[in-house]
Amino acid sequence: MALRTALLSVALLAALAPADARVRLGGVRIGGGYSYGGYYSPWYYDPFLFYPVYAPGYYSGFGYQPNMGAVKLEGADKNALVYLDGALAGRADKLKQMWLDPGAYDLELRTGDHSATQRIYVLSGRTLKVTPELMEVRP
Amino acid sequence: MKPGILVGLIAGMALAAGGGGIRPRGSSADYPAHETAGGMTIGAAVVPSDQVRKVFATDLNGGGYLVIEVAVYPDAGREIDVSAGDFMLRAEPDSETVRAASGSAIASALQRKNAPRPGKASDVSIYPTANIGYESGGYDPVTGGRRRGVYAGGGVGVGVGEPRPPGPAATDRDRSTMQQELEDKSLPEGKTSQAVAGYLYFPRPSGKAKTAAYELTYYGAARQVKLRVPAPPK
Repeated sequence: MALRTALLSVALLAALAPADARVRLGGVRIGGGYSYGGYYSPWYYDPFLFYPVYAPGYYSGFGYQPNMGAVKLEGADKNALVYLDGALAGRADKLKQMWLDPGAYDLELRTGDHSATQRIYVLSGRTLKVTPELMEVRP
Repeated sequence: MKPGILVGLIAGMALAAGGGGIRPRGSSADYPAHETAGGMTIGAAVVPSDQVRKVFATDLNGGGYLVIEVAVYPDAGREIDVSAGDFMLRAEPDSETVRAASGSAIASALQRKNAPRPGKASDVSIYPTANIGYESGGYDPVTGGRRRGVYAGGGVGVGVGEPRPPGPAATDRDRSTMQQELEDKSLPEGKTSQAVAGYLYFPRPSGKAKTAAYELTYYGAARQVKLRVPAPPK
């Protein structure tokens, strides 16, 4: 009886959910305009399935929120593309300052065929300055 | 699987457990202090405070920690067991000897330092408020005209014995991030036959005299190695 009630509740919630609902999994917000007739577990996440994948904070515009830390890009090529944990965050000239949840991220700047990476550690209420000179360059 | 590959994998996993470390400099001679003994060469350099501020998000200067970059170069074909606990530091000319602190201990101490302190009963907080607006609508019962114009008001809220706001890097998530950063950059621990490097974090040794150099001692399995590491210029 309890199982039947639970299944009915899940089915009702699924029917009422808006078509453009966003799901936040593992710190990455995923927006959907995709449709799929099959079934996926709510815990299933594959960045290639949900492509394009945007970096954490993308949908909130990396704006200030309480208990967040700031990352300042200094001296970066304005046309460089900024990636966080392999997901696109935006262009460097639009992201001079990003507010992120505390945690460790892989920051990557891509310009043409070159990329520079750095593991960054964001702490709440602190500003981390990132300069390309300290980043590891990959051809 | 070949036994050699298996041993390599196990050694790699053991090293990964102790932190990734940093890239060692070209040779031990690139460090201001270096010493060879017991089948290996150790290089060391004190990281200046301004450099610590650039390299670490964690506030090690504010927490009273001294950061030393250490590299271990085993002799060719020799395997050594590296452990941060084998290093001791003493400030010259005379102070107590201190052992390297772990990333988790430092992160916990810094989180406690930044955590909000309970407010005292004597603490008084004052919150000034102000409002300015434009009023349009309604009729004045005296003149019969329409009421309109700018209005302003103000007030003061007073709170007694309220907790102080938390400082930066005070949440549990901050603590785990600080721990992760310190462990990622610390000297990798475990058996290795390759050169490894990383940072060691020591509580800043107390001493009244101006420190000209630090004495870093490695208590390895083979023999004791002493390095005189010059303090960075201020």
